[in-house]
Amino acid sequence: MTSLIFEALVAGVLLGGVYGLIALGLNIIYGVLDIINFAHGAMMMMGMYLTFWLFQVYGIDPYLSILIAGPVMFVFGALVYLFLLDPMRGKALQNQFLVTLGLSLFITNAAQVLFSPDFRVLQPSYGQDVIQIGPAFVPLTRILTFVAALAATAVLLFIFQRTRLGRSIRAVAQQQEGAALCGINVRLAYTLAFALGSACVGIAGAAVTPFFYVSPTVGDLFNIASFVVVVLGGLGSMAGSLLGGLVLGITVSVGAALLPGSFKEVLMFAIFLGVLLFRPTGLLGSKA
Amino acid sequence: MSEIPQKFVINRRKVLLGGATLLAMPYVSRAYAEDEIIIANLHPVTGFVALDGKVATAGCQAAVDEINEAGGIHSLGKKLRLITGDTQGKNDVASVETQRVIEAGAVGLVGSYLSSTMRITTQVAEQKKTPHVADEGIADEILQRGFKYTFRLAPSSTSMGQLSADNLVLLMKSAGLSTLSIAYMHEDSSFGSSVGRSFPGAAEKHGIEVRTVLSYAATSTDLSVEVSKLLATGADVVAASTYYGDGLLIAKLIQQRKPQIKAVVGVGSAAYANPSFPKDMGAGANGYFNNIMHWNPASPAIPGLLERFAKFSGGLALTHQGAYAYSAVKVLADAIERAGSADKEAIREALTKTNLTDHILPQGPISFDEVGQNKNAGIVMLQVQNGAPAVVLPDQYAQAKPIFPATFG
Amino acid sequence: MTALAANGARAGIRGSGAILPVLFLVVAAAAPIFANGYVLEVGIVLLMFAYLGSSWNILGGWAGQMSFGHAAFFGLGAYVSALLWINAGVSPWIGMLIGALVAAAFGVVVAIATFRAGLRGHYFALAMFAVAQMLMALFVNLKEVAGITIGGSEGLQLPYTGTDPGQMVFDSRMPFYYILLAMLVVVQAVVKFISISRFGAYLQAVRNDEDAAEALGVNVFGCKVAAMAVSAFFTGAVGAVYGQIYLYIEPGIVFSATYSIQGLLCAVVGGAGTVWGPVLGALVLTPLAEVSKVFFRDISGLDLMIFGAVLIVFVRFIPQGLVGLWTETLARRRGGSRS
Repeated sequence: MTSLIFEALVAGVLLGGVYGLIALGLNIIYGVLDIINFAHGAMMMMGMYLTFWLFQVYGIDPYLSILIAGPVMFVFGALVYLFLLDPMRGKALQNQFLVTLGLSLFITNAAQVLFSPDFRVLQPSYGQDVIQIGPAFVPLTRILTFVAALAATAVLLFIFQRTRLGRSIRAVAQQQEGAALCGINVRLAYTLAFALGSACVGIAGAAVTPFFYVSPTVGDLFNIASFVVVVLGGLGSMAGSLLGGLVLGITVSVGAALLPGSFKEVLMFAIFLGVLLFRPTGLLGSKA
Repeated sequence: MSEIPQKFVINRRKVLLGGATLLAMPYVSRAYAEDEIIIANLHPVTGFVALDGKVATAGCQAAVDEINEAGGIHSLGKKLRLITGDTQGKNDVASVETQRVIEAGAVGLVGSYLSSTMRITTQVAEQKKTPHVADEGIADEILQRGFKYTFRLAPSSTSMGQLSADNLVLLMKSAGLSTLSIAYMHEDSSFGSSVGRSFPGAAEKHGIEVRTVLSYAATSTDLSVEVSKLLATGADVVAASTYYGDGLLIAKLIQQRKPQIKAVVGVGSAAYANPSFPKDMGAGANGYFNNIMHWNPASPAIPGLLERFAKFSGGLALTHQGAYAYSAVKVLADAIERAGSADKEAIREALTKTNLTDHILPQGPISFDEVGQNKNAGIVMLQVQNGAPAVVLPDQYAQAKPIFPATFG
Repeated sequence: MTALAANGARAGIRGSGAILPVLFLVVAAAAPIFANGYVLEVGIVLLMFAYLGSSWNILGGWAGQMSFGHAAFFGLGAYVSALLWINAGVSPWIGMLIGALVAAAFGVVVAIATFRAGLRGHYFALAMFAVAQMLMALFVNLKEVAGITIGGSEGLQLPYTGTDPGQMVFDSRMPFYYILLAMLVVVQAVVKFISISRFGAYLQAVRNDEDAAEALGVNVFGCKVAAMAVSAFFTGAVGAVYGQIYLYIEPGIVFSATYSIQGLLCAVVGGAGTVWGPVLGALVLTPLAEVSKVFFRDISGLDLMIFGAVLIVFVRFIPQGLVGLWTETLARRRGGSRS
């Protein structure tokens, strides 16, 4: 039993890192633009297909594809923002929500039209390698993905905290008019925020492809979890995303070890509600 | 405020007219040649089980193509025409689509794969007095409603569990073992839960020791803890009822742990022994067993079917979904042939008297009992050997001997 | 043409407000006479979505509290009515009311918890989403409670007894069309009443600016809880009817996001916070989905892809909804004719 819980902890941490990165993307978009992006999962799926085809056609290692999937999704995100979401600025919540919902429907079904609903699996040569940590056997791919997710998270946090670009985006998020007066291009800052958020989820998509499968609807599986993580860490809190991801990963994993059936799903939403009700700012959030 | 409603009332009327026009559009294409008999297949061609729905639809198309090439329905001198309803795997859509194809003139229905939509399509068929040959959709309750127009080819979930347990015993004996312990996990939607209700009990009745029964959500992004729980029981065999994606994740996790087990045996799994499974798992797929509906590999019709199926499938491999949908069309066509009429009541009457020996399923003649269940419905046990699934049990359908205990990889 | 339309519009304003809704009702009531089974079935879906839209609109549109989780009420209504019928022989006509009351009571509890915690905007929307998802996960795992079969993920098969009006069982879809039409009339009447009542004015004040409304002496918390109760009540009632139409419910369906989003979709496309917006939205979206299926069914997925694109275009270019577009167009023309 103890070894099972230890294993659950390790699995939870490794999964949590990925959740954290996905949620970070969602959170940048929310924190700056006040938009909850329901197409987030669908965009992750795009990153996954991209990685799959790059490996299949050009033999590019999936972890190397991160460097391609990130920029590609960055551009895609910028276009989505400029053409679809920028005109909706200041409109009611439900309108922005419906645009992202429509986008999600569009991308998911476009993938089905283009790639068929077939499941696809990427098999790197090291796909079945395992590393022993204490009593737990951990697939190498999970560890690599965790490291990649952490690195991407660190780079993004650095961009936001330490660079001029990041500071100007944060300035817009806090005080749109004030920032505009200081000569910051608000529209550009919003576009960059959405693009960075999209890049995050593209990277996350590339990073999970070595141990997951790819199909047009696969993004939905990660979508729901990422909402929970964002709320858990605090809507708008970037560092909170990583913490929220780890907390959720561990809770769900340990829940699976201790609870019968699929009660871990109930647990996930119970935590979600509990945080919303008793600490709506999340673990590290400041904006309510 | 109070004047707003009056303003858009006019707009609403316009929209209503527009809506009526739109609704009338399907009927533009409704005219059909009098020398054709329309039948319809209802399958989830889009949505989360779109892959299965597309394979099933291609199976139906292959059957119609084959029948028409041989001259159609001889007793009527007419050819068959197939129309497809996309259920999207959703109940309300399934209901609308069933009504649509019946209004379009379908005299018989085939489908609709999922147990959930099957309850709806058969209900509408019953109300519209239209014969419905159910391909899969194994939930027991579907045939417990006293419906007269529903006929099902697939075994019920209860007999699916029992037949799987029977096969497991055959497997045990093939290796000369007298005891066997299993650890079983099933996904928690209606498919997995219904099989999960009957299989463990049936296995225990045969003297197999069931160490644990565990349910999980197929939508989980990580199942490593569940797999560890299962392996920690030290059982000889891991048994699993899965969909495709989750089944794949479980297989990879098991593979990575290199456990001391004799085999992994699917119970109605959509993954293990699916033709895509060896492709997606690589050499690691070898050794996996699955209890599943299938075709009879010895049937002389199979090579022709594979060739014909490829014309419609867009590169997708034939699976049991396709084979059962194909067979359902053949059963329906056989009934129309014998009825010598495109009258739905006459077709239903003929279906009750079905006794089809010329078929591709691994069973005796196809005939239906009083509730519409295929009396001889059978399943086989497949094993992935040398990168391809082969039937290994029961003996009369076997293409190869089971390798048990299995060597993984 | 333009002048004619404008004249027509003015005539509409001058005419009695009751005439056109009554006309709509007459057309809707007469439609099944001319409709075949397919059109009738689409009509049922359309009426259910219009009704869901109007029910959602009470909370989401009028009170401005966007919910992503109305499926919670839909599913509760369906389960309560079905369980009462199967286990206690309670007619679904009564079960529907009890289901609606349970949904309303649950709505009040959720409302008190979330609004006390000060959840607004996205937070409230996500909390509601979690409520629905949690109920789904819970019912998936509930096989039996105190000897009563809940069915877990396999759901509940409702008894099929042929036509029995006393038990809301019909061997045809037609009666359900009229049941849903009658329910839509009721919910429209209630919404119309809200729109001209003091309560409706309070709700709009809450929607526009909660703090200002509070300052003006509006009981913001009470208004929001009441709006939730009414909205949940009506949503729960139609959940019970869903069970009777299809005679089968399972948690993966009745608690699914579909039933949270469809109502929202109709309301927003038609015009959130307007009396007829949700009905209009359903009148546009349901045929749109059907037509794209008819035209694009040869390539699977293409129809939903186009539906998604049209949805984006709709919301992108008519963010105020169809009703809002109409009102604005009218105002602009009136302005133009004066100059």
